[in-house]
Amino acid sequence: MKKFLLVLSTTEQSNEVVGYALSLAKDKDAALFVLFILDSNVPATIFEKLTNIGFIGDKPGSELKEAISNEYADQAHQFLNDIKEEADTKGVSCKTFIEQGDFTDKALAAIARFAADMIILNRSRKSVFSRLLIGSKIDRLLRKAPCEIKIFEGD
Amino acid sequence: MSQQDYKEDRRVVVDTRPIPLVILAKSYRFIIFLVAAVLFVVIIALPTPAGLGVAGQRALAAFVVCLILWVTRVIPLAVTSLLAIVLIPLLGILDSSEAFSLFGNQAVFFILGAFILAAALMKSGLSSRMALLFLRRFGSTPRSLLIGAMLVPALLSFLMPEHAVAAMMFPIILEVVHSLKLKPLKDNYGQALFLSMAWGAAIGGVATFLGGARNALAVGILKQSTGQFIGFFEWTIAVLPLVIVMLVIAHLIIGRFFPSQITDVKDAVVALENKNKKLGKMSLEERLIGLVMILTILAWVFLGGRYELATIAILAVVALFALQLVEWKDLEEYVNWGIILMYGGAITLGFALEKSGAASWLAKVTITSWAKSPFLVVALLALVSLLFTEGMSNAAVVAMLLPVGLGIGKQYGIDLRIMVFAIAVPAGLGFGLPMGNPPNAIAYSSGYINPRKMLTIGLILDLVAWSVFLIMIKIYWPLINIKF
Amino acid sequence: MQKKAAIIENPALLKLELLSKGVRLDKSALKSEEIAQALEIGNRVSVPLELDMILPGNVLVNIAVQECLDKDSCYVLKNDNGEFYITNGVAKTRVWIVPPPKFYNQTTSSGALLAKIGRTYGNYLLITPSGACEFLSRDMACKYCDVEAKQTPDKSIDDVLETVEAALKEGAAEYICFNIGYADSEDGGIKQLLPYIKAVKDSFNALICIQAQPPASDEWVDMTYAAGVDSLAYNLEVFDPEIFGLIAPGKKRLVGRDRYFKALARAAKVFPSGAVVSNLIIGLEPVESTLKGIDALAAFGVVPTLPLFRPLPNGELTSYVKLSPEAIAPIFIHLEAALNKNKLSSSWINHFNIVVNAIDAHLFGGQTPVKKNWPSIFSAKKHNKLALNLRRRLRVRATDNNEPTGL
Ligand code: SF4
Repeated sequence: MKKFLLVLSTTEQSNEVVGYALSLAKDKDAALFVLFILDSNVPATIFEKLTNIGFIGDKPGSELKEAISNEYADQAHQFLNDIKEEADTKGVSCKTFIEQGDFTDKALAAIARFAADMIILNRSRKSVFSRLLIGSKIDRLLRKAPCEIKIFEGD
Repeated sequence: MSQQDYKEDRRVVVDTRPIPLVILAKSYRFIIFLVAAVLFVVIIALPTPAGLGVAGQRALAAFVVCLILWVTRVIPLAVTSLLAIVLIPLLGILDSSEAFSLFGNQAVFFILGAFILAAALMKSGLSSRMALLFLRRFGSTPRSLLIGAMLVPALLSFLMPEHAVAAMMFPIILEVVHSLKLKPLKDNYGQALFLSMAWGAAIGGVATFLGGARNALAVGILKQSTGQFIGFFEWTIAVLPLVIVMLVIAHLIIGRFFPSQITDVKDAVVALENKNKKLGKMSLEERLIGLVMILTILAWVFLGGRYELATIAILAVVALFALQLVEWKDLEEYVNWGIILMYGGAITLGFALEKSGAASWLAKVTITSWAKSPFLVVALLALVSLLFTEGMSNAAVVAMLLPVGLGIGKQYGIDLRIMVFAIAVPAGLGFGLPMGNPPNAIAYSSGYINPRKMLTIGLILDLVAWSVFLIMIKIYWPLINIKF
Repeated sequence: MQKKAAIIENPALLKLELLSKGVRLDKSALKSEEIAQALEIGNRVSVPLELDMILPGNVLVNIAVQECLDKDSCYVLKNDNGEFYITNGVAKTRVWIVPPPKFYNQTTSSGALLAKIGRTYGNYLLITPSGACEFLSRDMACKYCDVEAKQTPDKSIDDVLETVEAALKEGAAEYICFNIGYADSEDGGIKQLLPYIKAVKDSFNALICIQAQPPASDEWVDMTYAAGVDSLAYNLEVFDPEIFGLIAPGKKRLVGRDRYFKALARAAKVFPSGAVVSNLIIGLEPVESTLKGIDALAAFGVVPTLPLFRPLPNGELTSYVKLSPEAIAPIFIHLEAALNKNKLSSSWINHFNIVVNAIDAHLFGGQTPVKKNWPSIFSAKKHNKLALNLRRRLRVRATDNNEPTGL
């Protein structure tokens, strides 16, 4: 059985790519692994901003940071649960995982871990600015990935 | 050396960016300092321009150095302020006892008192309770809930710093969003709620001295350099119409760009009620803190003429401690003490610029030489302040623009209070980017908001704010006796 | 017949054969001084005899000296007037024996034999400061583990320093390599090595490599680099998830297979390019799986090293995938392609006498041209220590540092 890996992240997620990955897995009779990578950068920046240019102390700042991180994790769990349900109804074998950290590193480690035959990514249309930041992540993965890659261009 | 006594407890990280970037980052601080130092020397060494004395020239040099350090933040804002306070006497602009005494300016102590009061509100949970109580009342329709999501933080921002309000509101709005099962980025209503929260807090923050410390800072600079003053009540009266109009417009714009698909918000009300129940009954502590807060505000409004605002603020703080409502430890956790120093330095610098004549000279070379209409000048200044605030800290915008603004005002004979409003008010109204304004950053970080949309709508709102501000100058202020 | 001759003539194939089959000593060989020295050292430290020798084309190989079981394919080392030959009865080829370093026979001031503290392999000095490994104590030892050799007493820092000094002085080693077992803590065992690393770094300008198990948090990968380690190995050994669990139960249960990938991915970012390696043992899993593993590791910048499975004299692992040299050769060509694709060099691999690597691969018909002879290819001199230290200085920073993050 072939193994496909769908990689999502806080900034790269869409229902469309999920639908695409599920039907692809169904067509090719493959198992689908879904990895959600949490972006830890955003809460950290907010935290820094609040204590540095805002004038509230450490405590509210770190509480907020935690609230944001938890929210990201919740959102990811929710999203992954939905995917699982959809996979069940479609009869696709599907396992989901959450990780925190660098996008490319985690994605490559996951390819190795699952010995994936194909990796599916979402690339949303973004402003030039965020393209520079996020696009380069995907580009590095494109160069490195030791398996087939499908990029889903979403909105 | 044995294995036991070897401890590697220094935690480290390895910077994995490309080497040139690492070098740049490492030398960033050095480069900035170098640039600041070179500019400093160059400004001092240049022949003194006509209309600017030696002291003015030196003040200008100090101003440029501090500005660079404030904007780039290579050292903490507070430390830059400390630098200002030694640089000014060292350069002979003021004598050192004067410079140091400015640091103990009343505005600084007022801000200090306001922060401590806010800390008490947050720590006791009173602020969250108020937010929950009010918000629940707005829960009859999606539309009204949206109004509440904007109005509640706005009102709270009358009492405490807008950043703190946004940080406190965040979990509450999150609760609402969860209870309605809204999806990040997808559901308009979720985006609308978070934007309402952020923009409500920001708009509310311009209304009083408590919402944004920059307001008190601006008035402090005004008082120190010119002796004029704006009272607590007077400020709010002057700004309130703008606040109301902006809240209405912001609400309409949000409603227009994020048409809600939600028909029922009962679940949200239940969630808010549950959250409120979890807080338990209102404690005596909370009631007392509330009382102290109310009395303090009344005193600011009615006794503000007779007693200094700072005096009242400090008395309130003493009352909090006398009633054992806060502990010092709480204050250490809830107040960012370092930043208070920033305000002291900004006031000192502003005064030095003003007294040395650098401010009016700067005004002349920047604007006055070509802009003929005072109104145009004010409009321009407000716009500059608004644009700057999108990218940098609000207080830094005030510290940077106000001394020059006052110089300009004097030359045109504009009421200097107008100059204060023209700079301090727009400095709180950056809606587009998460960079300059913590409430925006917090809302953005929720993950529910599409940043592109936030930017577009935020910039529209920026322009609206600017226009409303100008209309207010023309129509409303003359009525309350603030004229050109 | 022809096949046998072909193997002898191709040093890379021969290396593979010798690695898996070992060599028997002919009486003539026993007479030579080099062999006598090696035997004596072997006796003193009571380990089975292994010989480092150089095959034509500067291929270095470390060969176990053992009795030959399979009469058909025996390799015998012969000495003909001071010149050594290896023969399989059909053909023979000239080889050069690397004599054991002299420092082996010295003792430290505390009276320990240096050969018992550190052993050289090629140009690296391998030191196992402590035999402790929680896989062993919890009965989850790796199946290929040389438990006997692991039960070494702890070595003091002073003894280690003296050994390092002697080896460096003699020119017998350029890399100091520390090997440590697993500890069930956040650092995975590396913490025990830190004092040794610091001591060596403080006293000598030597390159340090370590072999360890991945720490539980990536933070410790960073700390390892910061401590002065130049090259690092977290050995996966087997790529196939199931076989991995069978062969290395401790690695699977206490560390977790995915931790290997994550820690390796982080390490590859933190360390200089090519300085992070991981073993994939050939012969323990189907070739297909090894190939996948090579691709996966190379993708995140890890250089796979491919030792051949050598059954231990009394090890549990006797059944394994038997591969002929012809079947193995394509694996190395694949490795070479994977390294080229990801722009990785094998310049940091230093136990090249027990692994066949991309530099040997050209002998199988791969692309890597032989630019230099092995001493310079493998010499640590190609690594500019100043640049390596500068790199470390630039990249490492304390976490509490408030560098502007906006840049
Ligand atoms: S890690 Fe495995 S091979 Fe190494 S000592 Fe422990 S059990 Fe033996």
